[in-house]
Amino acid sequence: MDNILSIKGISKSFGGKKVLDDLTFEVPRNSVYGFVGKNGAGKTTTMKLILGLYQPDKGEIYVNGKKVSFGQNETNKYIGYLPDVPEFYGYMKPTEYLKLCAEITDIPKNEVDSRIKEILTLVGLDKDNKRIKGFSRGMKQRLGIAQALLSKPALLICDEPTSALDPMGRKEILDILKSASKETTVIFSTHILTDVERICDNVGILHEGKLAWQGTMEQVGAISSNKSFQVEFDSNEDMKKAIEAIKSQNINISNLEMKDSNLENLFMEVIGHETA
Amino acid sequence: MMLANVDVQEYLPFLIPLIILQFVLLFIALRHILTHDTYKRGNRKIWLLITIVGMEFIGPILYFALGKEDE
Amino acid sequence: MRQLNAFIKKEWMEQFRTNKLLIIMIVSVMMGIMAPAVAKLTPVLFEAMADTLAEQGIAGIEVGEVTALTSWQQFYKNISMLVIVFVIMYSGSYTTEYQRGTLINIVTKGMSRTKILVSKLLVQLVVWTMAYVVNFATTYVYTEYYWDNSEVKNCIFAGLMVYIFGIWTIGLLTLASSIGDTNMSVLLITGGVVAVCYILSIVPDVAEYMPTKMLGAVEVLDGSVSTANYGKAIAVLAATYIMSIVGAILIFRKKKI
Repeated sequence: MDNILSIKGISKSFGGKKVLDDLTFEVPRNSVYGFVGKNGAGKTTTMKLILGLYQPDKGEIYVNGKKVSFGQNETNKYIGYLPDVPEFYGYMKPTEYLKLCAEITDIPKNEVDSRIKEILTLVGLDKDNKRIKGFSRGMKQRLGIAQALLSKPALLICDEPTSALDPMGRKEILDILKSASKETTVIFSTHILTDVERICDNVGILHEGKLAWQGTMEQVGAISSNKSFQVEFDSNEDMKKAIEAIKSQNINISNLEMKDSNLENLFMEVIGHETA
Repeated sequence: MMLANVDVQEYLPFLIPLIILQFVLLFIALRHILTHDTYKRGNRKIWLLITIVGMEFIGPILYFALGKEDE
Repeated sequence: MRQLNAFIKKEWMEQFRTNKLLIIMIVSVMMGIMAPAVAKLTPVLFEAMADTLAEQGIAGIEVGEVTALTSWQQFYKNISMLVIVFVIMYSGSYTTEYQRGTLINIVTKGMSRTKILVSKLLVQLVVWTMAYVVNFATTYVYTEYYWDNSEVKNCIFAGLMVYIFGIWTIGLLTLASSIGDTNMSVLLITGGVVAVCYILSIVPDVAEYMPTKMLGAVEVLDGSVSTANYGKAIAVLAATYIMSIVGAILIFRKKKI
């Protein structure tokens, strides 16, 4: 299988505390990979290692088949990165900032303007050409996606792109990511599991520095839904009758409010039923 | 003091530009302080005071170096 | 080349839009005017206070004749102030970007870190050159108007010495910015190195080699000290400047940003 990203036995400690412990996983090309874990599980650290912003204590990372090196990192040209809190030069306008990005990534001169226009329309900032200083969190997040997607990277890495936003803003960002996934592989980290269920096709669960579980969304469904399902009745009476019927068969119902999402069940199971 | 018998004309070539520049600097600093609500450190009252007391140029410089929020 | 141009453009835009260039230029002109102004006003103030001083029993203070030399002496007395203002204003050029994380976007796009450093260095050198030339020219023009610049010797040489001291300081600032994480630590490192140079200069033989010797270049104006005395200090300054920049690049390439 063709993998855009492979992480091989990465370990990383900060001041004696082991954040990543022999982490190994692969991300297939053209997938939307949800990278799930509790706060402080090492998601951001993993991403910064992929970008060559940190030096791993042990192990190797390959992006698009090429090895990642710390500091001056060549493989970054394949990657678009959206930090958890993207920061820009406040005195610039979005078009000016994107132009800077376009020149750094060496987008052909005659394509720059049309590409910027296209990407600003995609993220819905085409009407907001004022200085970035006055931007809201959500607008900065959109501009963050715009700068990450500008050079049509093979791999888009998003660090908690939705955590700081309200439900409406979250939905918009997820929609943008979903549409971006037609052209690129997306990895995004989050602790909001419903976001993953909404757009991801692959999931990795990071726990105690290791990948505790990895698989496709179909597998998530297959594993977790074998003991529980959701039934809706037309009326309260029907529901009572159904429960009576089950009871008459001596079948024990452990919980009637099985509304938790599949992924959430799996997540709890994998990290050992701790409260997240 | 007997400054009265000094020929002021002689000093105008430097007094006028100095005073103008001083006020330009003061104006830029005050405008920036009043149009921003957050500062790197300190608050609006402190920066207004420093800028006006040290207006010959130290005050505005201190504000732009230490008080002005990064962009 | 395109990356370098793009980042230089960004740095240059920053000078205008954050008012940095405007402020440093206003300060340059003001300080350029102040040197001849103080020279011109000192005897007037002494004269005005003569009676008061006499009443207090202080008499016989001779105020020497004010000449072009007096004006330039004032200029060199104040010039370290311009260097300090410059250093304070640019102490956050890198650290602000570290703290806010603005370089992360740039670096993760495959931007060469060396080019980031070179862009910032070039723009700072241009700003320093503009500020210093304006500062020097202002004093020169006023001195010419009130007195006569031909009275002082080695006028341009002395000016150049302070100019290259500024360039050296920018090298130091760049090195400090690759080491420190906050603008306070950058100021402490830069100030610390200059302070060490001053302390070492207590030993006269050592003083001849110190870059800080440049700030005393006023001594060549009356012709009592030869410009040839500056050779050793210039050589040390050039060598340590190159070391600062090379060191800064090496450290910055591995800097956690």
